[in-house]
Amino acid sequence: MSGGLWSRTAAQALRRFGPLLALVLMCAALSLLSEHFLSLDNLLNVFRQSAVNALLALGQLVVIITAGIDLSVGSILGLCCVLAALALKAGAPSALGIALALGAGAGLGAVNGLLYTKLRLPHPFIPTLGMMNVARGLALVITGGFPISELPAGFRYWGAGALWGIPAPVAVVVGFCLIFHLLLTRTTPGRDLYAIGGNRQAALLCGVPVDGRLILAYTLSGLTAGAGAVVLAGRMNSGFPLAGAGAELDSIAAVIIGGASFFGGVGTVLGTLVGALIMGVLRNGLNLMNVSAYWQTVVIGAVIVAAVWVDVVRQRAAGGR
Amino acid sequence: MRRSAGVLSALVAAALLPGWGCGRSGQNKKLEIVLVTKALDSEFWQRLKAGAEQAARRDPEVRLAVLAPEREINIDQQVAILEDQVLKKVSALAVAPAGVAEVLPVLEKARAAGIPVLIVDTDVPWPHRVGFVGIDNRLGGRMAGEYVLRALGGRGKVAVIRGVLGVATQEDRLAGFQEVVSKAPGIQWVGAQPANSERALGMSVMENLLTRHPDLKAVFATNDQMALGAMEAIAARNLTGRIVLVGFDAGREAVRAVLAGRMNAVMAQYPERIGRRAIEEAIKAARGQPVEKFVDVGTALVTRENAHEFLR
Amino acid sequence: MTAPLLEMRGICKSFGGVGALREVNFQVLPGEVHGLVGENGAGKSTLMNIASGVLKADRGEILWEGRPAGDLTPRRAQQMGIAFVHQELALAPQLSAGENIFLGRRPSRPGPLGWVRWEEIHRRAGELLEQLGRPIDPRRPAGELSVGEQQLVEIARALAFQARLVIMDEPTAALSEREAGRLFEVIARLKQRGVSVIYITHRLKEIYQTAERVTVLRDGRRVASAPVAEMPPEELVRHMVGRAAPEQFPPAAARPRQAEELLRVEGFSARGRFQDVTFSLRRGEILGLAGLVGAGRTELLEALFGAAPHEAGRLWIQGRPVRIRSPRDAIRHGMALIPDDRKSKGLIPGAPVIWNIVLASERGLRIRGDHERRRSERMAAELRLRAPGLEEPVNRLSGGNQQKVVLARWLLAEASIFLLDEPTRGIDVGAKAEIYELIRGLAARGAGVILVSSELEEVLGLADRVLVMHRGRIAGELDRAQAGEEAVMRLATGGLP
Repeated sequence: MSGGLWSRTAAQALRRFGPLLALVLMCAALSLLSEHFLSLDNLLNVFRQSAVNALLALGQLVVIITAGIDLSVGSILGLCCVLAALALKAGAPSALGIALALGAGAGLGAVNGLLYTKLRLPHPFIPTLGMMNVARGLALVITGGFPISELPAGFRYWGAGALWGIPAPVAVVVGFCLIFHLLLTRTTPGRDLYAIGGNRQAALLCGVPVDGRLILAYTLSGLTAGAGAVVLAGRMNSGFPLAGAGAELDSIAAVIIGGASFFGGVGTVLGTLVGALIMGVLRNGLNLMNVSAYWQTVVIGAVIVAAVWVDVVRQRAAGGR
Repeated sequence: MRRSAGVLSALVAAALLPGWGCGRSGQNKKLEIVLVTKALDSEFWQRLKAGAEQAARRDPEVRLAVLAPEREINIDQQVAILEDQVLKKVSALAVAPAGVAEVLPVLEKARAAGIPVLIVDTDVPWPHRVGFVGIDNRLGGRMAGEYVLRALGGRGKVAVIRGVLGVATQEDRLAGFQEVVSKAPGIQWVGAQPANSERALGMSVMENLLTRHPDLKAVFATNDQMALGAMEAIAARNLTGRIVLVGFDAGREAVRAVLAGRMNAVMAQYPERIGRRAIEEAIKAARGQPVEKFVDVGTALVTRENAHEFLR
Repeated sequence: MTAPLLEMRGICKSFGGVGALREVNFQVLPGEVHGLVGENGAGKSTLMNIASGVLKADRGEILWEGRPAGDLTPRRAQQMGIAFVHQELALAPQLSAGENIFLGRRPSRPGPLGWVRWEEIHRRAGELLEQLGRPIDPRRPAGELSVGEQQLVEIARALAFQARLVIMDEPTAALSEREAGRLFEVIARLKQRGVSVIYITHRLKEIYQTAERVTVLRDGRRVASAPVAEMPPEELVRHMVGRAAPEQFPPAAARPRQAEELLRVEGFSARGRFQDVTFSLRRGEILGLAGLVGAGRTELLEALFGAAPHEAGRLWIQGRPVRIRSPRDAIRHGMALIPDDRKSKGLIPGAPVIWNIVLASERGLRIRGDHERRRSERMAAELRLRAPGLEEPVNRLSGGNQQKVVLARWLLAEASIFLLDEPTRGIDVGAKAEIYELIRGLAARGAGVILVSSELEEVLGLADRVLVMHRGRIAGELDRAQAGEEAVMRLATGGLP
């Protein structure tokens, strides 16, 4: 069946480069529609604005590859913002504030993983939904609801600073992307995550330490939420307890737009990064055209559905069944 | 591949359909003024927007865009919107900050880009703003407090339902209210509970208050939405009329509730006036003309007696 | 001759390039019980899935009462009167028997406001069940019924929408002999009502008990179709197996009688699954594990491998006592499990062939791309793996090649104890012979093999020694010389040896 072969090859290319192509086309369209879009300043703007979502989406990607979901990343981000800000206000050096945010994020993520695997909860939806509420609640309790602003410059650097013209948040995202890419493509634990998402039972029977790997996945997701907290708090010069409200859904959207499968076993760092950028570019472009935030939400919703629809078309073209 | 691209470009094109955007600008040397509010999801902001648009229409040189994040708590979204507008080098910005400290970095960027920034509704401690248009919220809080004292005859348990913490308008209203009631020896202060300026949260916070303090006598909600939510919670327990309820903003829904006796009083803001004055001042700033440092559009107490005046 | 109720002409169907059905003609007369037999993978299920609209034929024509049936969908087939009673019963366990019978349909017009008339549902369900000769309380939750009773509910469900053709796929596989006897009575009643039955089975005896005509499929072709009376059992078997049958099994290698003991199992028990299992396995030995479905063989293998818990029992590997709590422990001790269901337990379907091959052996932190590619290519060549490429997803491969991937995985892991659970399930005949050769090869390399298979001839053809399980216990042990079909069946059904 030559037709089948052709559509299979096309479908593979579509999964691999579809999101990237969509991003390029969108940029081309937007640069025609707004003369401000294609300027260096604006592109740096897009990167800065997408940085937090990109970080959360990286962690979310690792979890979605295992056929899981992490609903708590937005709340963990909020709690980490607040913890770091409080520590800095109490006189801790910037490095300690950053370490605290990253450590607390990873720790809370590990708790998600432990709850899921050791308590044998039926689906990661449950522990992470619980954590979503607990972490947000703690952030509000600790601060009494007040934002903690005016953070030291050393800390703010990671959200607002720049090195040789490259915004620090962009450097953070690129660094995390590299690490996650190497983890997922060059290491056994990374490949195990795909195996678990592809067929958990088979992975178990092949001697993959399934529980350990799942805990790793949720820990990484928490870690990126902690990193997102450093970037966001630095950028806003404030640790506010409502930070990251709703961010978990944006991160899931970025991963899905980036071509990962909700059923697990599929997804790449590059795709996810492109997914986050597609969302960032859309919002930025629509902002430049003075389109209201409510319409932006409508457009992003449509893009999510379109992206998954493309995936369905791909599977129909590739599947022999 | 072609199909996915088709979908996305169709979406982008759809975003440009009539009425959505202003399209290209800058060719005909117009003044581009942008008003960024905390949200557009309530009557208050919609009326403020209407006032702003009215002022912009009077000046043929002016193009106005009114933008806002989805919800008041999405501070980072407001910051992103501001960044994008700064990049466009608009002629002047009028901003109602969703978070006081959080918007300061982007306001600095605006200043660096030479864009005059006028603050609206919620003041920020930033010396470089060209002016502030709003009301004296502390005074409004004090007036609400005095009304509650009169209504209670100076005795009873009093609580406050407040908006997002750390926002100056909310802090000032609360502070003004507390200043008055704390001086009355017969008043028992129960506390201020946050409800994010949202109606649903206002209702559940009120329910909790009533459970914990069945003998509560008066509640001051620092905006209408929370007051309307609290009103429903009070009605659900058949306590309408037995608990003094005061709101803030005086949107139509709240004023009608006052007329119907379901709410005792509401502090009036004049959002159209705020919007109109904000844009008038912003235009002056864009033209490099002197701007008034503090435009107080005034506030008033709305009770059943004068409520009909606020329902034109 | 009366006109056929269902007629299928020239049906062709292939999956991923592998032909499953080739030019199959098939007819069912009104009111007849028609046996459909063939080895695993002969195409019986595929043919029936086409008849019931679940699958679409690549080519061919389907006639219903002499008229073209057009584009068959499951819904349309149901409306015409075709009902499929599946091997895995498809009842909703929480709903009552009556609700299950009328699931998705209304017994009559609904009450006011579209309310369900429970009384009517249960009354009519009770009637239907009674007509089948077995009174079951229609109010009982389906999950509480025995397998035989559940089957009856499914048949009643077929009657409830006036089915005129009921397809039964291995209906006695999970039934006791008594329940099977009752099922034959039910089939007789269906016949009386003029309903046709297609009866798929592996058990030839049942063909002679119930069917009037029989069709034999082999390798996706119809090789015979005749009245049962004209088809003696020997001929039926010859049709099923084909001429190639006797040479299928490669000869056993000569093997020292007193080879080293690789594995010893003593008193292995898990409540409700297997009891007090004791045996040993020597180097170079193939130990067959025979028994009926549900005898506890799969459960035993999974427990030995640490994938399922056991409550009592001890294990020695090469004379040393070991404790195995997880598959990882088992793998560390040189064990390998080739599970009964490749798709759900054996493979990562969407992942490349290479990943699937190296998954159990490449456990270092860094992935060594060249290294694992070289090793995979070596295994692929050794096992004569036919794959479009090692980077292709493994689910693009045929069943036989998928099984080779699983075997390659454990060869790379240098396992010495192979637990093979139905290693040729869903694999076509040609590939089967290759798998047999590979299994022999494992033993020849000095590995020990435990072989579980539902196909008795497979066990008899390969094993040096056969253990027979019955209801979770070892019912007996037979030497290669003693092991014949009859002897095994006697033990497997609980008869005296």
